[in-house]
Amino acid sequence: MKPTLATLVLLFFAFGVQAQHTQLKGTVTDTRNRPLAGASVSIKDSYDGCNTDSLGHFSFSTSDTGVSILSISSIGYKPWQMEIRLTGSTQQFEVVLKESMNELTAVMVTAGAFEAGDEKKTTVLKPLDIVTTASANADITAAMKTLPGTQQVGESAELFVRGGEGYETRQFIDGTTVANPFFGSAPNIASRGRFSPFLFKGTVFSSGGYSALYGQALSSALILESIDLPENSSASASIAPILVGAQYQDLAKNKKSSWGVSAQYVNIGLYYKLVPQRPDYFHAPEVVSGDVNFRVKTSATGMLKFYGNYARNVLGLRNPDIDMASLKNSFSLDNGNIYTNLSYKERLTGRLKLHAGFSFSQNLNDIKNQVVDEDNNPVPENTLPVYVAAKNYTVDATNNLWQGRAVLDYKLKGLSSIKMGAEYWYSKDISKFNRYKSTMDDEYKAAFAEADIYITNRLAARAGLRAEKVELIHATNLAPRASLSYKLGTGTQLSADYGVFYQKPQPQYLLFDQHMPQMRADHYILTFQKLGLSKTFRMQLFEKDYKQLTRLNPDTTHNGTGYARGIELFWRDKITFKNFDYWVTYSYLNTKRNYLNFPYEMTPNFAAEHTANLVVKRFFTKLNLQFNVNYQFATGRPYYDIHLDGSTQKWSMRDQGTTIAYNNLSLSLNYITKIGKAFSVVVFSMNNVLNSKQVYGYTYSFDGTNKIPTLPPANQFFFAGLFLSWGTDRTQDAINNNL
Amino acid sequence: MKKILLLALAALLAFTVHAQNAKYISFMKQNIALLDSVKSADDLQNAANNFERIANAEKEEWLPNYYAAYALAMKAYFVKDLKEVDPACDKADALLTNAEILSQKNVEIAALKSMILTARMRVDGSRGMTMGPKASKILQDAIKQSPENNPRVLLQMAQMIYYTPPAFGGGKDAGVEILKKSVAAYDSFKPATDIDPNWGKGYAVGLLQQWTSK
Repeated sequence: MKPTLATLVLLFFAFGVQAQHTQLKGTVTDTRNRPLAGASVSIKDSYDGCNTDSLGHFSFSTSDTGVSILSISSIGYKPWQMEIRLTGSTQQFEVVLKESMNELTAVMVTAGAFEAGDEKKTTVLKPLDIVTTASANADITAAMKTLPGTQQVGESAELFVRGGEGYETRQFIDGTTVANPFFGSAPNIASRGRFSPFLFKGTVFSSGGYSALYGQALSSALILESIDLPENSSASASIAPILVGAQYQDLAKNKKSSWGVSAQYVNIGLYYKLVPQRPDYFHAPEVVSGDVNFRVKTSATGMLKFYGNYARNVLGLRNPDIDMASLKNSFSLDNGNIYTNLSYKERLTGRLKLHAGFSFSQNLNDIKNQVVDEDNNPVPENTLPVYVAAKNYTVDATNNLWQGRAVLDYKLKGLSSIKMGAEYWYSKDISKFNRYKSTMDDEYKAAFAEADIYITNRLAARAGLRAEKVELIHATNLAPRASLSYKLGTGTQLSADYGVFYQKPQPQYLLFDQHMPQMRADHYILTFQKLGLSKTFRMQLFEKDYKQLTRLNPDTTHNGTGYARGIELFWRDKITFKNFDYWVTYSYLNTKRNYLNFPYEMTPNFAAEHTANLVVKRFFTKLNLQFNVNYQFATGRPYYDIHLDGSTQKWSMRDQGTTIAYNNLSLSLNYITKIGKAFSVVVFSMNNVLNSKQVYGYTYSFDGTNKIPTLPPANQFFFAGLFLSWGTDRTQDAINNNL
Repeated sequence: MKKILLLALAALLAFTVHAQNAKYISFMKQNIALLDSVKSADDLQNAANNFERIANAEKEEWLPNYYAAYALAMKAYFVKDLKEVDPACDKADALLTNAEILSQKNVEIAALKSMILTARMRVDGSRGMTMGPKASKILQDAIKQSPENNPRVLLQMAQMIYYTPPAFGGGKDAGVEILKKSVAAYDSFKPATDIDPNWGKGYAVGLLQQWTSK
């Protein structure tokens, strides 16, 4: 009797409840009341559930009873959950799912910047774009010159952005600044950047309104992020008439660490014998460089990286003297540069990340300019007029920079985050100009905080503050930065940026006056952007106001002012023309300033009113051939003869004009093949294919009667090279060994 | 008397467990069968949802997570709007992470991981530069791990090699060779249970015909 009863009770529990079914019905929509199809509706920890139909409807029954949780999920939406009581009677639900915040659908805070890299996010540029831009010859800053906001200043390697000087753009590697990003060069001849684009996985070029995490750049920031561990060990070599190089990267068996070394030798001598140059090179540019790196994965989320580079470059050339036709100026340069960067990143807790960096760099310049006669013999100074004799000079300079920096990044709910950090720079510059020796020590301290707040999926705000202290000039400044972004539709958004930027005056003026405040620029930027996977359109309007610029007229003061305003357009399309990828940019710039020796407010000689770029790329898959074309155009730039009156000691305008427009058509071919076991790329490139005349400006003789154009060393530049790499892909080995 | 009671209880428990297991197997079979008849990305999403619900109820089983990820990986190939590729792949990766916790060093999971990476390359060809070597690494490790040659790992490998330019260590001939090995492996492949992964044979055979008929 008893067991039967017990069994019955148990059986009742086991099956009896199944007799009761609760019917659950409802509709799932998004916040705009559109039905969501394919959402998953379920009872927690149970099989029961179903998917919504095309009208967002769902209906199913469950045999569960009591309190349970009904949950609904759909990709791209925040999961919805609700506690329900299953009683056997039908229940109806009207559920609204909110869009989940993710980097793909949310508004972008940094819409103003051009970003290359980051394989996941939709970016305007890819890392490979830097290498395959025809005019750039794999030089990072040269590739940036195809983006809006930059000027075609052919006589300099620096980036002149939105009416700013070249030194107003600063480069950062893993957070720390690079004091000497370019190789040493002769006056008015552009050199190249020191760093290979292959060192970096991410590049962000901000033409204004950049983050409070960075400072000491009035105009623009080029932020580079170095690569982490390589996928495998590899060796590579580069061979060209002007260079040879070799590189080795070793990845440890446990994939936790890697080290690498490389060496390169560049000598343009042979090339200059084949392609005549305007200056008379008695020492063609020659570079010996080497670098070492190691990267260690210190934990699942930690990474320690070191990169160190040494380079020495030497060159010597002669140009006719502008004042005395029978004489020449003989310029020689010997530059040595050490750059080191140690960076560490780690996730301290689930939400908190640390980025720390240390950097030391040293730049040694040994420069000599000598007035020589027709036989290249030095001319005794006492036989020369003072203004010609003054051209004899020597510079012996050593610049040291030590930096330390730490940033904490705390992730808030959703995509929001707060970053806080501090940095410290110590610089020691020792220079000897002729007989005059000077030493300048400076300390720079900064603390900064920045919050990215996603108010909704459509609206995001960034607020940042940077406090800076420059010890040498006893300047303390607060630089606020802010931006607001609003998403108009899929991939379409509008953003407004504001920021105050400080930079200490250039060292050559600080030598004479250490009571100057920091120079200041205020940025106001409005951006409209439509970013798709294969098409991008961007329009920017900007206004930049300069204050406290260094002035030399009539005395060294710091009340220089200026402004820059303009409009910039960028259009990239990878889809309309089959197999073609192209981008077009246009920049309009209206800028004037009154600084240095300017007699009044005027447009500086590095600013062109209209600048345009067309970059076209095509990869021929069957031929393994990539073909790149690039056309750069800029209207003429102003040039001036500003003359110092010996009696009044005032600068005045003696002559002025505008250069001819700048045209440059470049092309490059990359052919990918296999030579032996090496993956190989053959590169051929040519700058100024049309042989257009390019004039960068004019220089004037002392008396103003003679002016000569500043021209590139040669109208055209050709490059041919072979790049080999071994071991980048071991697929075949694995197959052969294991199958 | 007590004995009888205990026996009855034990029998009942065994029965319930069995019933539960039978329910799991039958639900899995039902949905695996459904996978064979999908016609659209939406069908695949629905199938993935179904598997995910099973995964939520059966917290010790890797297969529901695996199949949900597989359905989403397929969806990533089906969708026309490339914007939907990454979200589907992200979800598939999350599900595979669950599966991997429950079943470590599983070559089937490796094959699927590689398939998801390949799907992501649809969005942007230049991703191949970083994702290609990653996928290839996963497959190489899987090949080393399973001497008996998993046909799905080989199928993924074959496709990757086939579409990799010879200069990068790939090529059509090399791809065909591996695909042949995959088809052979399919012929001798016996899944551990009725519901273990056993897909792709028809596709592999069809692909081999397509590749060798040109």
